[in-house]
Amino acid sequence: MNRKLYILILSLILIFSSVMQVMAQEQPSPSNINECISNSSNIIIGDCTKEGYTEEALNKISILADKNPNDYYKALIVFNEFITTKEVETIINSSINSERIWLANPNHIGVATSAVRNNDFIGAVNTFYKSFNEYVSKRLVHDNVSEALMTNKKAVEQGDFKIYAVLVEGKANDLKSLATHTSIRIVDLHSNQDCAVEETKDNIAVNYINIPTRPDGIK
Amino acid sequence: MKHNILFLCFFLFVFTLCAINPSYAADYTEGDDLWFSPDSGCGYNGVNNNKMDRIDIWSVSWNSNAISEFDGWDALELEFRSGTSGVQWRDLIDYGYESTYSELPGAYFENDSDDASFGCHDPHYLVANQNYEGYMDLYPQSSQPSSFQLIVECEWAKDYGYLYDPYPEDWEYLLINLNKGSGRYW
Repeated sequence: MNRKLYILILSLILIFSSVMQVMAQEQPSPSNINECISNSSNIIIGDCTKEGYTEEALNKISILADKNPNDYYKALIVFNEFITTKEVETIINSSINSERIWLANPNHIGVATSAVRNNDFIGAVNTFYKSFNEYVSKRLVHDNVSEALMTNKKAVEQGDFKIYAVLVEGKANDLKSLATHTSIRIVDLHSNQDCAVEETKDNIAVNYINIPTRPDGIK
Repeated sequence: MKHNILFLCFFLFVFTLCAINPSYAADYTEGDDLWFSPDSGCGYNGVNNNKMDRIDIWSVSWNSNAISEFDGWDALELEFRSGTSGVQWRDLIDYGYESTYSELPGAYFENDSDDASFGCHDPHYLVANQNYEGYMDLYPQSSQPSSFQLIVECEWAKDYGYLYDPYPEDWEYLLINLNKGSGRYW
C-alpha cells in the first residue's frame, strides 16, 4: 500500500513539474531575455577606452573604403573634445547625413541625445533644450530632484551643453576621410564583418548600442 | 514511513520549482526585491494630445550593497513595456526617439520592438543613495489605444566585451499596472 502511494505521489509530482515547465515556456517573457538568445544580439559602439579599439576601427573602415568606396554605412563619430554646432558643421560635410547628436555639460554627469534632421545641428540642440526644460518644469513640482539635474538646468539656461558625438550615414570613402581628422577620436562603423556572416547564417538581428566615450572621461 | 514519503515529496516539489525550473524563481511581484534593482525610484509616462509620448525615471537610487556587487562586466536596463494583454509596445510607440537625457553612468537608450529602456553600461560607477534622473521623448503611434497600462522592469546583463553583449542574466518588475499618463514610486 505504501509503495503504491509513493509511486502515485511521485507520478503526480512529475506530471505537475512537466506542466509547469511547459507553462513557463509558453508564458510571454516580460523581459527580452529569450529574444536576445534567439534572434537578436547587441554590440556596443563608441568605447574608445578599450585598448587597440580605435586602431581596429580605423583598419576596418580603410578596408571597406578600399573595397566598396561608394557603399553607404552608418557610423558613430566620437570627437576628441566638446565642440559647438558650428564646429560640427565644419567637420562633417553635407554629403554625410547626420542622424543624432550626443551632448553633455563638460565635467558634469548627464548625457543627452537629440535627433538631427537635414543636418540641422542647431535645430537638434534647440529641440533638446526645449524638451529638457519641459522635463525639468514638470520634475521640479516633485521632491528629491538630483543635484545633477539642477546643475544641468543652469548649463542649459547658459547654453553650455556641447556636442561630443554624432551618428551619421555616409559613403565609406567619406567616412574614411573623417577617421583621420584631428578633431575625431573614432569613426566606429555599425558594421562588423563577423556579424554580417552570423546574420546570414543564423538570421540574427544585430542591435548596435551607441555609448560614445566622453572627452572629459566622465561616465 | 508515511512521514518519510511526505518529506521526500515535499523536497522534490521544492526542488522542482526552484532548481529544475529556475524561471519560477524570478520575481513576478512589484518592487526592488532582487539585489541589482534600484532601492527606490519613480517610473512616469507623459501624455500629450491624449497620447503617451514620454517616459521618465525620477529619483532612481541604489544602495551601497548593490553597487559593491557590480563590476566592469555588468550592465543594467530600466525598461518600459506594455502591461496590457493584447497590446504590444509597437501598438503604442513607433520606432526611434527624439530627445533623451540620462544621468546613469554609461548611459544609453533603446527603443526596441517590445520596450524602450534607459541603459546603464557602468553600474559600478553608481554612487550609493544618489538620485538619478532621465527621460526619453518618443513617437506615439497614431492608432495608440486610448487606455493601457505599462510595466517597468530592471534587467541585469553581462557584457564580457564579446560580439554579442550585453547578455541578459536576470530581471524583475519594479512597477506593474502603471496607468497611462501617471507615475508611481516603487
